Amino acid sequence: MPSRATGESFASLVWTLTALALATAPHVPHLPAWAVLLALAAGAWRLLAERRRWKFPARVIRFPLALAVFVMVLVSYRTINGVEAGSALLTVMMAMKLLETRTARDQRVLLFIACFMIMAGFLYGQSLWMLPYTAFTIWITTAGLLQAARAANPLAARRALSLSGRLLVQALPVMLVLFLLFPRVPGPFWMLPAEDNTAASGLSDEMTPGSIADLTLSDEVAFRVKFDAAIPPPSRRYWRGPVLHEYATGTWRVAPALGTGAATVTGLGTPYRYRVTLEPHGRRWLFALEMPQAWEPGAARQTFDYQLVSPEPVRRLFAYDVSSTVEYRTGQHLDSRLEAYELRLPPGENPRTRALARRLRASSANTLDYARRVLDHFRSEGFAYTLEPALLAADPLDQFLFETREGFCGHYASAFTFMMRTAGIPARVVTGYLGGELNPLGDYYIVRQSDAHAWSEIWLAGRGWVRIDPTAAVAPGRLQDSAARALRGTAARGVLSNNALFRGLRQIGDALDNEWKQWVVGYDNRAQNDLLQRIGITEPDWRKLTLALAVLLAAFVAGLSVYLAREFRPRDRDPVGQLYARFCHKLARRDLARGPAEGPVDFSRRVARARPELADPAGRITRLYVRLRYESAGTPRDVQALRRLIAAFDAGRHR
Amino acid sequence: MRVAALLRERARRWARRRQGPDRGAVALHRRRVYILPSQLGIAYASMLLAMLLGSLNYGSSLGLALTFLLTGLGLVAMHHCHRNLTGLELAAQDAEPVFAGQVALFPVTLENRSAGARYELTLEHDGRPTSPVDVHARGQARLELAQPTQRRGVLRLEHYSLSSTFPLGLFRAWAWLNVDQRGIVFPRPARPSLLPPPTRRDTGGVQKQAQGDEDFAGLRGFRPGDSPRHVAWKAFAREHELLVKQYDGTAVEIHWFAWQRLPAVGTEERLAQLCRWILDAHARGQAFGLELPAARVEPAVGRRHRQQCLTLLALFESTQAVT
Repeated sequence: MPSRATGESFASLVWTLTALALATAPHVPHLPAWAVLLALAAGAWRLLAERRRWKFPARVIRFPLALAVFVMVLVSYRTINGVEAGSALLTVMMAMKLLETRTARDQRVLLFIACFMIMAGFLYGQSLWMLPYTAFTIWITTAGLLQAARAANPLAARRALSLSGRLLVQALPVMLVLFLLFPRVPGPFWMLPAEDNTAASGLSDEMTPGSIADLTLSDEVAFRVKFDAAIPPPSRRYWRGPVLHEYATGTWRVAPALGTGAATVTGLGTPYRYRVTLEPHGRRWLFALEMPQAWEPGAARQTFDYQLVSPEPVRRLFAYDVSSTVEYRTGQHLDSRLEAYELRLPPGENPRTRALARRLRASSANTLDYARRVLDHFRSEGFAYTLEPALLAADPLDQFLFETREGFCGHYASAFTFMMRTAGIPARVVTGYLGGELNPLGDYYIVRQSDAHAWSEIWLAGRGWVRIDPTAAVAPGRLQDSAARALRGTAARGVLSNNALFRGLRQIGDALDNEWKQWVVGYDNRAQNDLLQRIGITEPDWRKLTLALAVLLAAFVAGLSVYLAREFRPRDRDPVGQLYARFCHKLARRDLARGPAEGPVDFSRRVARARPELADPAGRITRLYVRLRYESAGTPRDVQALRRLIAAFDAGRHR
Repeated sequence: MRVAALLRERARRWARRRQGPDRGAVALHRRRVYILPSQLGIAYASMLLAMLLGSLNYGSSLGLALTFLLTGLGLVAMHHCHRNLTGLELAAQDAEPVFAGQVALFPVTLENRSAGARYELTLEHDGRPTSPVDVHARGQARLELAQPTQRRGVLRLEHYSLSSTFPLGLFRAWAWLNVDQRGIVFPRPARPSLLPPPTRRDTGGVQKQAQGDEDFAGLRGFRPGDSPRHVAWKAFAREHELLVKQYDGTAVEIHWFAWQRLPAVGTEERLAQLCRWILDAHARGQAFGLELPAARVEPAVGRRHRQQCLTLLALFESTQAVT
């Protein structure tokens, strides 16, 4: 192994380093600065070393250096188990390997590390829009693998790219077949890292009136819904999320599990069946149309407050099927402990609100009437629906109800629930989403963070828990449209989101993204079973899958062989010569090889001497060949005759 | 790795039995080309396995897609590797003669008749590979296998392999070739120390040595090694000084190098000495003849004559070929 760079491999090194740079670039935002600098320095050093024929660093330098960077990764992340720590480790390993890359094999190992880097990049996100970049990176990496062994004589760039491109294109059918049919053994096999980098997003487990308004500013997709057949009217598209039971100083919070009994809901009317594809949000909530009746058994369970939750936090795109009815009746029994909880209010807060509540309750006939009166109060007392309400200080509800009189859905839900509790009606705040934008290209609905909503739920004796949405009293348009539309003319929302062209483009983009997510990113065990059942394999198990895989791969291999053979076969420019060559080959197999300088006539005579029984057929063949070849007197019929004679020629058993 | 070398040798012999000897031009048929994963290929497979497990563990669909794409790439590379060799034609020639101790070069011409180029082809014998060459579509390339020589005789190159790891280095495809190529190895010439034997001049006709009216060109001092016949005895009787007669004229110096006239040393030393004399005589443009126990070559000049004499020396009493 040379101890000094030879200067010959500069071109192939450039290819390798380009591939490494492309593969590492997506990681840079997640890597510590020192790791990035280390990688850059190592790459620059290696290139210079090749140019200037420097010596490679000795082991006594490399080993301690490797140890030092390993320790630094440990210190930075406190672990090596985890996506970010893992890619940092990979990056520094790559940098260390660069310091001792001497042979073609070393360069190829570096390119293998690049493949790992690409794969690690997928753990940050698998969006469609990264696909061209990733494809380009893989292309350059393959070209680098081609060039690695050609230090002294690299291929021209175009040739390298065209060759590697062809190899990759030919590999695509294998990828497709394996992707669709390879058994998707569900992981994880070893412990997933405890701290994941999926930051919790979207609705949280507590709500202040301003927090929902913050979400309205985000266009991010929360989830997508595809309905099987019937579609519920827009005013009923309440997507139930976390239910908040505790109130303190203006904030509603999720409570610990308060009920143990299974929640009972009776559905009325036609059920709507749909599939939700939920973007990862780091929490366990699953959103479903109020009220869910049936869902995939293993995927979710229903809490005591009718919310669907998943056993694991949702860190990956998650699709689940649910069936809901929008008319429902909950169970009639309210546990006394739960009742007490749903009535609790901190003493002393918001005194004017309490006074108003008691006054309205006194003048109401029953609970339902009281609720209507509160809504009327919102409707008639000049309340406004705005995205940027004034900030509230102590006793926020008092300020909201009597001074500012402007707010977002969170304010109204909070005030309404508070007033219900004051009057002795068990009530709670439900957060979630309302609405959804139809994407006609994919026939599905997009629910964005900007559709986040908060409403209230009260207990009516004889009817159970009933939803009341106070926002409907103030901004009835919200039920039909998204918050953006309902707010038109008030707060400053981007002009863009109302521009038709922009919306159209965004819809195309989202439809593509949705297909990508359904078919590629979200293709898991269940999706595979679905596909197989559609094809006709009713009970897919790994044996049948393996058989199907083997058959398809064998077919591919055969096809590729045929294709390559066509390309490599010598051009059929000399049929006569080839026929004669076949004749000679037949004789050569019986130890009568024609010498390289032996003329056909001489050869034929020699054959006649050695094997008298072959004299006649060999003679005929030779005469015909000579006529065709040397006398230019042959016709195409003669060529056919020659072909027939040679095909029939049999050199006989070897003596 | 002795076991690996042993297995390889056995495989080669099995292939030799299966394929038969090669004569003249060899066309690499599909069945003669063998292919196995290289060390790098095995590392690649391990990498793919690790990527597969990792992707299944983290449930990364794109990670699986990448793994499968690279698997397909490996499969496709295998086919290209095999195809890179199949259909290639080789023509092997005998080596130019060299002297013992020099390196004999066995030329092999690769001919590519197909429409696709072939890349990174290497010949290998005894663990010594040549530099890789590419052969363009419908083109030719020439490689030379170097064989160091030690003893004189016939050097036979009985088998070697043609291999390539194109395209990605994951597989190695090779074919064994059993072309019996030969090269003559002349004996190593001795050090230029001994004087050549006495010369004879030929002025045109056949002359007997002692008589004749050649132009007498004077006397010179006796040098050790001059033949007693050339000594001018009359002058010695007069002057008591040994002098040698010199002759002038348009004469071609003719040497006779004879086996019997050499001192009784070993065979190889004698051959080495004869070789040295032939080279020196040829370098000076002088004619020479060779006389060996079993052969006799009349004096002549020229390259072919030199070649013929040296070949006789090389093949002297050698019944076995030198490898």
